[in-house]
Amino acid sequence: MDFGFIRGGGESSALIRSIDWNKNPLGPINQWPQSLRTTLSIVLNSKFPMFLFWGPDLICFYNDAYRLSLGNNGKHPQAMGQKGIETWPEIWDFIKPLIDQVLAGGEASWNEDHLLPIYRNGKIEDVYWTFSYSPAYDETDKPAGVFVTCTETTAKVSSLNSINESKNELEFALNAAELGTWDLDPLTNKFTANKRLKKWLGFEPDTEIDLNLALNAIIAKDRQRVSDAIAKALDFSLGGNYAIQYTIVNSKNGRERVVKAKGKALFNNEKIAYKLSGTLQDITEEVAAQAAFKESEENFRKLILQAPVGMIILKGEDFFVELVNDAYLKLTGKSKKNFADRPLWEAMPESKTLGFDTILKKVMRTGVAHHGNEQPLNLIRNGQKETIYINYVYEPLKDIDGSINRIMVVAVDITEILASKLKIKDAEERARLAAVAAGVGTFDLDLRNGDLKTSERFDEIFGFDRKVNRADFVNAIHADDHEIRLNAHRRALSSGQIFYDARVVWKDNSLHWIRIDGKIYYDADEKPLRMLGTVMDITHQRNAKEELLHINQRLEIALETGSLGSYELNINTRKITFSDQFFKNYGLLPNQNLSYDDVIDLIEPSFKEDVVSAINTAILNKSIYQAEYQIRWSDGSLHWIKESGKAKYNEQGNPITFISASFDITETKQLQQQKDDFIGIASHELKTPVTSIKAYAQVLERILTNKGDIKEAELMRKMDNQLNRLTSLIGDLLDVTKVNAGKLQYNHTHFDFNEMIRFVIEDLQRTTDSHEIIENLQEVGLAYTDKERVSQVVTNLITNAIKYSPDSKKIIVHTSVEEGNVIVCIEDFGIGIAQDKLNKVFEQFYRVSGSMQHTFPGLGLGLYISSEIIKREGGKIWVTSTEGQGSKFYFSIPLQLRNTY
Amino acid sequence: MSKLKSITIADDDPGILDAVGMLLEMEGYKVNATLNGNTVINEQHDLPDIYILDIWMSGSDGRELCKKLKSAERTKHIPVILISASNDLQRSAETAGADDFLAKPFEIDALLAKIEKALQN
Repeated sequence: MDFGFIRGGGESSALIRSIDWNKNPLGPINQWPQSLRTTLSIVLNSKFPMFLFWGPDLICFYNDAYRLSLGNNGKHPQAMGQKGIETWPEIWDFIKPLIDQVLAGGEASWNEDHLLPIYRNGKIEDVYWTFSYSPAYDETDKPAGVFVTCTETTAKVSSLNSINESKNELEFALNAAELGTWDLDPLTNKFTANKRLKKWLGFEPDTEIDLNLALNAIIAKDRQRVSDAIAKALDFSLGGNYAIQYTIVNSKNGRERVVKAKGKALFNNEKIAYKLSGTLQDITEEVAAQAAFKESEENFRKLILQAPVGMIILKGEDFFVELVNDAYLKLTGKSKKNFADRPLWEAMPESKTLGFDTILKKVMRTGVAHHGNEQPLNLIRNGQKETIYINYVYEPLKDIDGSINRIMVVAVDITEILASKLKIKDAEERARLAAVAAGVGTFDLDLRNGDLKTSERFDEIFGFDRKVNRADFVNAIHADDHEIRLNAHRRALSSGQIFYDARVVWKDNSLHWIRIDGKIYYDADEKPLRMLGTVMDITHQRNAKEELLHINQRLEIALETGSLGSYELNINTRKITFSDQFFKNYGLLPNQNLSYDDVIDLIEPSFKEDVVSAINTAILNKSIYQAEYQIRWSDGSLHWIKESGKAKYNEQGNPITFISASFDITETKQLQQQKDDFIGIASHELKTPVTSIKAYAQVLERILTNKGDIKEAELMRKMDNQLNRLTSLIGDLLDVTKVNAGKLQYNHTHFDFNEMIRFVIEDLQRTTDSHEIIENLQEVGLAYTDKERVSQVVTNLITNAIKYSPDSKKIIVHTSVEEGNVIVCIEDFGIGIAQDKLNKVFEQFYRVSGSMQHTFPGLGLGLYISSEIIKREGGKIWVTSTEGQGSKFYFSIPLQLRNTY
Repeated sequence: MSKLKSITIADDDPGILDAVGMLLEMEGYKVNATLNGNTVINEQHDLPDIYILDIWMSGSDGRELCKKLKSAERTKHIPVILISASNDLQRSAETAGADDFLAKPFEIDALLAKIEKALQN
């Protein structure tokens, strides 16, 4: 088919012809209305850029001239035949109203140099257009399309813009530079100045000025110089240039400004200057800044020279040494002469090889400081080759204009510090390795916040296979041993050392012994900072120790009695095997068939429960079992048995067998009982007559007193006192017998310690007129110990104090608590004890002999018994004394019973 | 205080009974002294206001007597003071239910104080 209207018409026509219009809202070309064909023919054949929107969908058409404005990689060629909204989405909001306006009323529109950014050349570009929109009519004379003629004016607009911009910039620059401008007519000396300059000089804006007036505004010392410079500038042969710096002064307010004047003279054909014009720039601040900079730089130099750390300033690309201080010279072992005005690499060739030059260049280029730490440096220092370690900084120095042309190097010799640090590291590492090798766990406890760091081995020893927190470790410690731990920590805070053994219970309930050994580290203010230490698993040592003890005991008893019986029980199968002697000890027929339960049933009912529980506890705790109990033989007789036992465990720590050894101790028990009985009977028999005599004496005393026979009554009182002495001697003798036989009985109860002391004092005060017994008691609280025995000790010490201070009037009793121990002190002001005798007072039958014919009654057993009692209670007793001034007897005992294991 | 307070005292040592009895009478008590502890239990009439019993007596133990007195309806309200030449027995005296214990030999004033105290309760 031949369509004349799109024949020819260049590229655009060809494009139209190539499009498959069947899919277009306009339909195939042969169905296009004549009006469209006519309009298109005009568009396509025009050399002027034209565009057409046609139909309800505003289908786009354009010609070759227009196509240029579509650029490359933009709308062409797909815009041809496309809907308007699809072609111009970016400007549709702007052009759609224009199109509507044209279509609605047929009114044409005209726009000039209008900015419509469009997508072309692969991007949105600012495009300026001058364009007209006019209606294209269809066959019914209604507008069916919009005919667009347009020219792109981008180039024109942007050149105009740039002119405007540069003009604005100039004005802006002049303003920003705050320049004064001036003109001088050399012929008339008439001087014109802009407002700013007049203001600087202190003139009103409309004042006429001549050169003299202007020169008078210059400070006196600069004036001649300026005149000379002007004269030179007006000399044609010298080129006509004028440039000078001077100070002007405001005639009104006297403010001075440093100004920089620049100008150029214009000459006529006779080479005579007819005009000299130029600018004046206020550089007051710049000059001040320069001066300040110079000053600060001077200070900076001084600072560097005096600095205790090595400093050197390098200048320029070759790193010339501008300044070097003594500390730097000392550090490098070089002389000042060596550095004088030379590049660094000449002064210190060794440092170039270390790559310092690259770093210096980078600092100079980027202006970013460089820090180096623990850098080894090989130097020849004091004639010797040495390796030193330095920390250093390359600090770029900005000049006043902000450029970087210099670098300050600060270097600190840390060789010694590093050496000690390395030593510590080395020692730490060695300690760590040793700890690992020894199977020791380590811990690091921060005492400020309670943070605990532990080694894996530490966790392992506590029975943990993963990281746990501190509370878990604490909770793993056996309940009975918490006190030990707490006391150890309390003591550690004052002594700086921690050391204790305790049991830990693993998750599988197995028991393990640990030993904590550590040290506290303090900060500069002596505040405890960290506790560092080790933990060791000492279960084996403990067990071995106990086993040894156990074996020794067993042997001892076996030898003593010659009657060791034993059995071995398999804990899982309950199979039990006995030795022959076992049957003998238990009054059984040889090789009788017995189960473990049968053995238990032989035990007298009153002991059975305790024995079973002791065995079970020992198996669980991996400890030694020991018990004394009675059994009844088949003939009905009662026998005492002493039994020891211990379980054996497999590798997993589970008990496999229980081994028991037992002896018949009936005879021993009987002997013991006899001894005890004898002591009791002796005591009873001796005291009974004393009691009667004492009672008679008291009866007599009362009778005599009532009769008024005061003298006789006094004699009876004396007799009564002698009876008291006799009583205490009997008591002491019995106690010594018991102490020596190990038969002193202890009854531990909870009681208020100070109350006990007060009771003793009250009791003694009742029979003492010579001395006042003064209480000085600190809060002690409850004690768990033998109340009777301890009060016996206190009584003894106070009685002694009274006895040995016949010439003084008071005794002071002190109590205090320290680290879980109560400390009692009985202070007297009596005869005292010689230093060389101090240790002997606690010996049996030792007596302090008095000087000045004083003799002191007694057997000298009281302190011995006291000291034995205190030792048995787990405490200690001691004395301090000054002869002739008095003594202080002390004892301390645990407030709670220690775990004896 | 119209009626005298009566004390039954048992001890197998006649000297003690004699002297202590005398002292207590001097202090205004009515004293019934016996060498045989077991008679204390058999007393049917005129129950005392307080018992003072020795612990180790031939034929009887003051602690056992005390237990019996304290478990009998008629006598359980009457205070008992146990005395002994062995001062280790205080605890066992308490266990037996005694109101107080005094070790021999003693000051008569101490005994009187304990008697007064026991009678007040």
